[in-house]
Formats: sequence, structure tokens, C-alpha cells
Amino acid sequence: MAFKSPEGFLLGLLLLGAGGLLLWLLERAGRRRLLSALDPAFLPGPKPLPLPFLLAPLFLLLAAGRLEASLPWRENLTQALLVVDTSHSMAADDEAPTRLERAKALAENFLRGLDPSVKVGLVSFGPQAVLVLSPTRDRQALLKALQGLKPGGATPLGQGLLQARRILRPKGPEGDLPRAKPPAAILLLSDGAANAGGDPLEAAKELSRAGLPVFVRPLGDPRGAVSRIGEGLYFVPTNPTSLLRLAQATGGQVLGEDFQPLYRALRPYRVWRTQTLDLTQALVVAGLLSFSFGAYLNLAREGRWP
Amino acid sequence: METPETLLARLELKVVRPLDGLLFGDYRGVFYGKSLELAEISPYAPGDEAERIDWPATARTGELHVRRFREERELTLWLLLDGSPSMRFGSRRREKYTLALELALSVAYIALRHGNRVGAILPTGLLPPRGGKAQALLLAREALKGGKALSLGEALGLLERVARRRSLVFVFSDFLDTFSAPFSRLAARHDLVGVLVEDPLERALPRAGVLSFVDPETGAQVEVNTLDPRVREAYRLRAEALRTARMGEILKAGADLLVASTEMDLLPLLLGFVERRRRWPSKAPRASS
Amino acid sequence: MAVSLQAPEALSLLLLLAFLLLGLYPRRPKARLPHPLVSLLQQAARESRSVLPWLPPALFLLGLLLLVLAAARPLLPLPGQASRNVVILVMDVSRSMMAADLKPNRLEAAKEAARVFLREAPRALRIGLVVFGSHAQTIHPPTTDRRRLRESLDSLEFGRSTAIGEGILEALRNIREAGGEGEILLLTDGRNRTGKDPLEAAAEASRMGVRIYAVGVGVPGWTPGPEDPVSAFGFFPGAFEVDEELLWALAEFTGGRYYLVASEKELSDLYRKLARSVRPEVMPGEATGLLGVLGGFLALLGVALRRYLSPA
Repeated sequence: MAFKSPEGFLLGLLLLGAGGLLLWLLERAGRRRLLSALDPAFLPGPKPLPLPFLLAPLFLLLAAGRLEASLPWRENLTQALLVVDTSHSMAADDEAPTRLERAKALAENFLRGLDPSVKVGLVSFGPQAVLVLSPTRDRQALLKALQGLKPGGATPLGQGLLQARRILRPKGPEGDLPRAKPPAAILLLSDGAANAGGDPLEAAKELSRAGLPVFVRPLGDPRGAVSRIGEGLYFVPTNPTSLLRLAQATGGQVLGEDFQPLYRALRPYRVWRTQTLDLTQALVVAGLLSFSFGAYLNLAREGRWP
Repeated sequence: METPETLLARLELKVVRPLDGLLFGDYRGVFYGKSLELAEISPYAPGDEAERIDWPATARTGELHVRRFREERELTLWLLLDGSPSMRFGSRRREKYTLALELALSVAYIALRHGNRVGAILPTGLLPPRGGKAQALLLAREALKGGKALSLGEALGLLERVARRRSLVFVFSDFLDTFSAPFSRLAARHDLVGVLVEDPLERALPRAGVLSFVDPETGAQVEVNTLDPRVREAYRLRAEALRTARMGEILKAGADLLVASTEMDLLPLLLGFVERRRRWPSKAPRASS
Repeated sequence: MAVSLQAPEALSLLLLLAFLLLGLYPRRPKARLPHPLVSLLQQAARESRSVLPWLPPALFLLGLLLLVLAAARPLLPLPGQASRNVVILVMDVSRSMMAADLKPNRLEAAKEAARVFLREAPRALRIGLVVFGSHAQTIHPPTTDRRRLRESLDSLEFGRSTAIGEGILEALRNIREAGGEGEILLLTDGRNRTGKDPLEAAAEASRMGVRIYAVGVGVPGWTPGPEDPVSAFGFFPGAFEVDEELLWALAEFTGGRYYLVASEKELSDLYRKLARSVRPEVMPGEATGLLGVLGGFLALLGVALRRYLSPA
């Protein structure tokens, strides 16, 4: 708890203190004046001040100082990254309706079964390795970003993986500290036919050093397929073996029908964080309600308000 | 609350004895006044008062003769204490009822000491006339009790029925109920003194804020802005008019009037009353010599 | 003047007030003072022309109204709030600023002038500090904290080249992040040697509506070298190099002014004059707490007045 505006608190103390003082003084003066007309024996007893009228200024005083509360909450630092191949070959139709659409469906399945507190980001490669969406808990944004992926260009798989590493394990002052790194994993949705950029296995070594397992879901017919892309017929290869090697090199797995191994790798890693909550508005409302309740009490006891 | 014994003791000490001292025990005008009947004219005996000398008889016989009045042994004093809710009101020192009570008891005490009989109509009911010190105590005890009282008109009616012979009657009330008819009838038969008991707050409003008043009898409420001089003046005029009207009615009925306010001391009140009665004859028929 | 409510849904609390007001009619204050002549009192009370009995509930109601308004989190121009517009002091820290034609050297004179600016500028004005040598760097983003700015000034170091355009662009970036309204006070002693073209930067400034006040320092003629030749390795004392045409262009493009100063006193005076002529546009601040206190005070006053007027 802290006061964001100590000057406000002081001003509040001044004004509300003056108000309270006036209340006390005027009450006494009124009583004294009545005493000049009636003897004490005939004087009705003093009216008690409703307690809410004393509470309300307290609330408002705290509101003037802009009281902030620090709420502790546990944040899950575990992150996952979807790395999706958006190269030309992903337009092949050996997966229904196309390899890329199948990849999107798989990604959506994955998200549906995932702990909602895990942040997930999206990297696409083809023609460039692009960070489409930083890791976020906003599933809607992710789905929308996935929808927007279109196939085209070469396949810089290595670049995609390096991009992933930069996002999940950013190099900064914290990265050098010997601290436990929260779990992170990559879900790679590709047909494996890398033909641009650096060697994916080199990138894999970096990922392995950074503790980032790659879970792969190979797409496309393992023998390659002839499919219609746009105007013409092409032979579109796949390379599931390279994907398998990638997974092995980084400590990941080739996924089958379900994502259990990936889910297991994304264990929650929660830390305590504090969120500051500005209590000003709530305190003002509390003051208003106190005054109203006090007025109601006055009405019930004495037949008038205030 | 005082006990009847302490009340009487206090009154005796603070009121009756000083009054005795100031008046030299001479209560003529009140207790053996001109409203009483002549019993005989007999020769002067040492101790008789000089004012009782009957000059015609003295001139005729050459000896001092004085008038003696029968009534000294036969005087009955009746007291009527109005206990209606409006009497249970006060703002200074005491309630109106308390003032009335103390006045009545003082008068009764003096009368009883002189061997007279005292009867009363109290809020608790009728107390038949009796003499003696015990009657004073009984009066005090009964009067201090609370309870539902008769209205003034009803109490006067009751008094009419029980007081057959001519007596000295004190009516202690604020006269806010209707009273003229039975009161006039009583005044015709008895030596009637109307003691108008009032409180300063009834006559004028103090400048004390925005106050809410309630009528204890009817429960009617009103909020009055006593800070507004217009309001205070309006009230004062109306209250004065009412007061004058009441006083006029009492006098018109043929009774003597004594105004007692709750802030006054009993002693000057009674002293003034007795001295006034001595100096000016009452309106009752004079005793012929 | 920008007055707005951040949480207008709180105005629904007015319903609560309406509820209470309904309890006002009919008023039946519980009377505690007995009086035998109430009918007379009633007649007299009708003569009242005073509004005094209505003052306490009016004050109380006003106080509660203010509280409802406060609950809606209003934004009001408050004193002590930072300005909406900013001024970025852009300073050349190239080696040539070591020249001693302004005492003790050009950079020190510039720093002193900047300190004068910090002192004389209105308290509410947000000021930022950008320096440029071969690159531009933000030393401190716009703030009202004069102490931090002075500390930053004290720790300036020399750069190598002169990238005026970069300096302007960095200043524009600061202005953009701070809300988009502001002015640039640029100080340089030489030509643009590297980086983006200052005229392009000026065009950008003009698009943003940011004026550039350009100050060129240096005494025409031979420029004396620094006191310590060792630290001045690579420095060539030589001709007076202020690019007057450039400064003129910067001012023209953006609607600002340009100045040439040849002494530290002139520089300080110029900065003082400029500081005094800036008008900060005060940003509205959240007045929730303040209005709450005011409302509470009025409500308390209403209660106090009532208890004074009607002690029974």
C-alpha cells in the first residue's frame, strides 16, 4: 500500500480536518445556545452522530492521497512458440485442404488443449522469418494471426528457429544471471523441405544450448507429392527425417495425434508478481456510500437528513 | 424525586416560616378576610387586633368592642390542582405542575396550621376536607403521584358538586382548557382565586435554532425556525393575546387572579398575593357590620 | 481546456442520491421538545421567510453530488501538472565544441546556457535532452524533473562527428513519444558531417508541426584550440564553421528562428529569453481525490450546520 499523492493527502487532512473541527465546534455551540433557553433538566439528550459520518471522511482522505494497493498474483512464465512454415511448398494439397491449412488446424487444436496461462507466440518463415505475434495469452489474437498466414516464398527454416530462440531466450542482463529459466518449447509445423537460409541443424544446436526443445509435426506425404499449386502441377517434396533429427537434437519429439508430450514439456512455472491497483475511485465510492448510509440512519432516527 | 416529607419540610423552611415572619402571622385578607361572616361583636380582649375595633359599638357603649368572626373555626380551603398534560411542561427550574404543587402545599400548610380544614381535587381524585398536620402529608403524597388527570372543566365540575358551603378556593392551572362556565359558577358561590401558572417559554420563543416541538397531548409536531425574528414576533403576539384573554376570562368570571411563572420564587409570590388581598377588598360580597 | 470523465458509468450513483432525496419528502423530523401551545407555534412558523433551515440539506446534497462526480474520475487542468508540449534541447557534442572562443569552452558555455534554460523555464514544462556527435542519443526523455536533467547535463561527453540531422530526428522521436507537441532548441557549431540530411529531418519536423530554434555558436575568425592538446587528438583548430545557411533553412522550414552567438553571455541570455517565452500547455490530471475531499468537506459542513441549528 502506498500513497501516490502525499500532497493530496495533506490537502485532504487540512480540509477534512477543518470539516471535522467545525462539526465538533458547531455542535457544542448549538447545544450551548439551547442551554440559554432551557434548563439542563429539561434539555433532551444529545443526538448521537451516525458512525458512517465519521468513516466517510477517512475514506475520502485515503482517496485524496491516491492510495494504491499491491496485489500479489502468480504469473505463469512458461512460453510456447508456434513456428509455422509458410513457404511455397505448404500450398500443396496432399494434406486436406492444404498443408498450411492443416498446420493451422493443428495449431488451433494445440491451443485448445493448452493451459490458458501459458503465453504463446507465432513465428512464420517463408519467405522471411517473421515474428507475427509476440507471446501472449490472448488466444483470439493468435487465432486471428494464424488465419492471416499465406504460403509463398522459400523456406528459411534455420532463420525461423533462430528467431524463435531470440524471442524465447532474449539476451539481456537477466539472461546472464544464473537463474532457473522458465520452461519454453517450440511447436514446429512444417514439411521439412528447407531450402534457404542457414543450416537448421546449426540452429538446433543453439536451441539445445538454450534449453528449447522443438516438437515437430511433419506435414505432407513423406514420399513427396504431386499437387496443384496455383496454375501448375508441381512435385512438392517433404523431408520428415530432417525434422526428426531437429527434434532429437533439441530434446523434443515428433508428435503423433496428440500433444501430450508437448503439454508435459510446458510445465507451469509460476512466480509471484505484484500488481498495483489504484484504489482512489473505490475509496471515493466508499465515502459516498458512507455518507448516504449515515444520511439514511439520520433519517430513520431523527426524521430528516443530514 | 422528593418524598412528601422532604417536600413539606423544605416548603416549611423556605416558604412558610419566612412568610410568617414577614407577615407577622397576619393572613387577613386570605384566611379571615372580608368575605367571611360576622359572628359577634364583643368587648375588647388583650391580644385582639386594633383594626377589628368596631367603632359604632365602641361609641355607643363607651367600651372598646371588636368584631369576631365565626369563620376562623369553620373555614374550609379547597385546592384544585390541574394535572393535564399541558401542565407537565417546564423550561426553567421546574415544571408548571411542580410550581402549582408547591404553591398549593404552602397555602394548605398555612391554613392547616391555623386549624382550618383543607380539601383538594388532585389528578388522582378527590381528597375530602380534613384538618391537621396529617392532611398536609396526605396532600403531598397524593399530589406527587402521577396518573391520568381530569380536564380542567371536569375537575371544576367535580369541585362544584363537592364544595357546597362557601369556601376559599384556589384553582392552580394554566387555564388552557375551557373553564368559563363552571368557573363562573364557582366564583359566584365561593371566594375563588385563579392561579394562572405559566412558563416563560410559553410567552416568547428563544433564539435557539431550528427546533421541533411536539404537543404531548395531541402529538402534533411542528418545526419552528426560532432564528427568524418574524417567527418569534408572530408567536409572541399570539401568545400574549392568548394570555390576556385567559386572564380576562378569569377576572370576568369574578375570581381573583394570581399569575405565577415557573421561574419565580414562591416567597415573593405569596407575599405579594397576601399583601394585595389585604389592601384591596375582593369582589365577593362584603360582610356587613 | 480539456475536461472529461474517465468513468462516466459512475454517474449512475446519482440514482442513489435520488433515492435519498425521496426520503426528504415528506419531512417528519422527530420532535423531542414538548410545548403546550403547538397550534400557536404552527401559526407562527408559517411566517418564516428564512431559507436557513434549507441550507444544511443543500450543502450535504452538493457535497454528495461532487462525490458522484469524483467517482466518475474527472480530468481537470490542475496546477502542478506537466505540460502537454515539450522542448527538446539538442546539443552538439562534437570535438569542435572544445574550442575556447566561448569561455571556458563552447560545450561548457552551452551547458551553462542549458542550465539557465532549466532554471528560467516554467515549472510545468517538460524538457528533454538530446546530444549528437556522430550519432544522436537521448540523454533524458522529456520530464519536469529539473534535478535529473541537471545531473544529465553534468555528465555529457564529447562525441566525434557532427550529425545534425540525426540529432533532429532523435528529438522528433522523443516528441512523438511524449505526445507529439513540442519544439526543438538546437545548438551546433559546425556543419553537418554525417548521418541523415538535416533538411529532410526539418521536413519531418515541419510535418509534425514542430518548430526548430537553431543556435550557431562560435566567434568568426581563427578558432583557438582547447587548453589541453593531448585530449584534443584529432582536433583541428581552424576556421569558424557555423553553417548559417543550414540554420536559416532549418528555421524557415519549420517556422522557427535562428541565432548566431559569439560569447557565452550572449548564449546564456538567449537561452534565458527563450525559456521565458515558452508557454506550457497544461495537461489535465485526474481530479478524483481532490473532488472527493471537496465533496466530503461540503457534506461535513452540511452535517455540522444542521447539528448547530437543531441541537435538540
